[in-house]
Amino acid sequence: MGRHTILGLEISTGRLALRIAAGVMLAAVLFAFLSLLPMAAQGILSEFLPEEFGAFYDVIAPLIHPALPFTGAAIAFLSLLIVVLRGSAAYGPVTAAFGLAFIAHILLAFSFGTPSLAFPPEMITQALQEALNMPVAIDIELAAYADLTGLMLVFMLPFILTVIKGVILTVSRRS
Amino acid sequence: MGAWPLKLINALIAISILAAVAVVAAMAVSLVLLAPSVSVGEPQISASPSNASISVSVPFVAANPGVFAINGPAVCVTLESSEAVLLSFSSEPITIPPGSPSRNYSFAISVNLSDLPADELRRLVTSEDTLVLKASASIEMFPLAGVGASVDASAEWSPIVANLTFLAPEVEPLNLTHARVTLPFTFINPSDLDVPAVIEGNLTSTYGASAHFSEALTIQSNSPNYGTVLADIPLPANMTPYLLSNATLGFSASASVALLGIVQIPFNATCDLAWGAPLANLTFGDPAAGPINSTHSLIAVPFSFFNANGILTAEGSFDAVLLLPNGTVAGASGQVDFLAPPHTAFESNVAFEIPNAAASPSYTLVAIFGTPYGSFQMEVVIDG
Repeated sequence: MGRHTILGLEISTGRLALRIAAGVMLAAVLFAFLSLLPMAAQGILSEFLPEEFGAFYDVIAPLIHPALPFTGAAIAFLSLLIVVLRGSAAYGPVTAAFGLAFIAHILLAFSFGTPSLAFPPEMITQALQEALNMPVAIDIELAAYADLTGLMLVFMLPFILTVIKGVILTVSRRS
Repeated sequence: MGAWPLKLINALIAISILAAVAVVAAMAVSLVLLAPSVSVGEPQISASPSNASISVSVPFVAANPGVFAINGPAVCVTLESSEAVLLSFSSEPITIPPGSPSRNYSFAISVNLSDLPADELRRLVTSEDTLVLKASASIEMFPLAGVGASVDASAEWSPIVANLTFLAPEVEPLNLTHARVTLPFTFINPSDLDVPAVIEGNLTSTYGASAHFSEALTIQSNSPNYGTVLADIPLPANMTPYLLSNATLGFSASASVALLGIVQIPFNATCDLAWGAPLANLTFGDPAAGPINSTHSLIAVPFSFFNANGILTAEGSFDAVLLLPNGTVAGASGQVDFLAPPHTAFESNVAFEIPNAAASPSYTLVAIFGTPYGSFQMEVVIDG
């Protein structure tokens, strides 16, 4: 059985194949949840939301940041590298990059901690008119917002530590 | 670098992942247990004794078995015109501590009406503007998450009262004791609101009498409006001088229109009452004498006046005596009644039966009048 040297990592072909298989599986799972799911979110929403709430698609859509599929794909790819390159010279930088990618993904997923929904004025005016059963001559803007900064930091903490771990790995490898 | 930093960081990563899962689970459990524990009571609205503030409170019961404090709900509302903040209030802070059993809370809002900018409200009553309402509501699970909503609405404001004009007031005698002042006004209410209004003020006269008046009305929306305020004021206590002479009685009104109970529009007006004397030109004319028998003669004195008053009827009676120059009584009349509707003349004769021995070239006629407005005495020298 042959041996390979990858960035200072001595590994047998069998173990490399196992790592690649495990990495691909992990990457696939992460890709599905973190990249494909945000990409298909609007379709899923339209599937589950009742028809009368159709107008809300446009309101909810901005909550799903367009960059999420890309950060999700980056996380999936970096997770593959982490599994394959564990013990190599690149393990530390890849771990730090993985942590940073996850932090970026969480920031985008939480809209930097303060997601908000802005309802179109015409939607509110129409709802008011239907509720009051009379014409309403009001320009009205309704926004729903959340402050999820605390929760976001709780989610980010493991990946902040992951970045620190990657830095420690990189520094210790060089020294 | 040794292995311990890596072991430590791996342990911390594991702990932080477990902590994140635990936090999410704790939040979910808190919400699941909190929601069914909430029951809301009947809202209560109360006003302070001076109506300077209005308080709204909504009692509710809630339990927070979770590990995070619940702050709120909190509400903040601001209403602005283009020139001032009209209204601004916030709900009182509520904190439901973690681990608390089912307890009573109150969601309370107090609006201080004395803070309303009276000048700006008065301007809005007659001016177009754009009103902006900003409201927000929020609730927080401290320190992890909070949710809320905000409303930013603007609407064109139409004045409630446009072209408010007080026309020339009118005054006329009402009865024997009072005059009635009529204050007519016109305006347009171009808004969609029916506006309750109270016109209240004081009326004073040049002769010292005063009266208070108050009139409540509803200003109909989208329509021209015409209204009058009526105020009754006492006539002079001593009417005798006004029975015989025409006069001008002056009145001044100082009042304000209160709209919606908060906006005051002041106004002042004056008016004069041209008082027509009920017994104007009261005259005893030249007497006519003739014999009754060998011992007595009859002296008839013509008596006339004009009722110059347009409203009141001049009525009453008088008793007269004829006095000789030396002051002794030559003869007396019986009671003479008179009645003259407004703007009519009255003519009659008063007759005296006197002894022939008491005949004189001249007499003094003394008449004592009794009228609903008062009594007075009149002396006239007449030729015999």
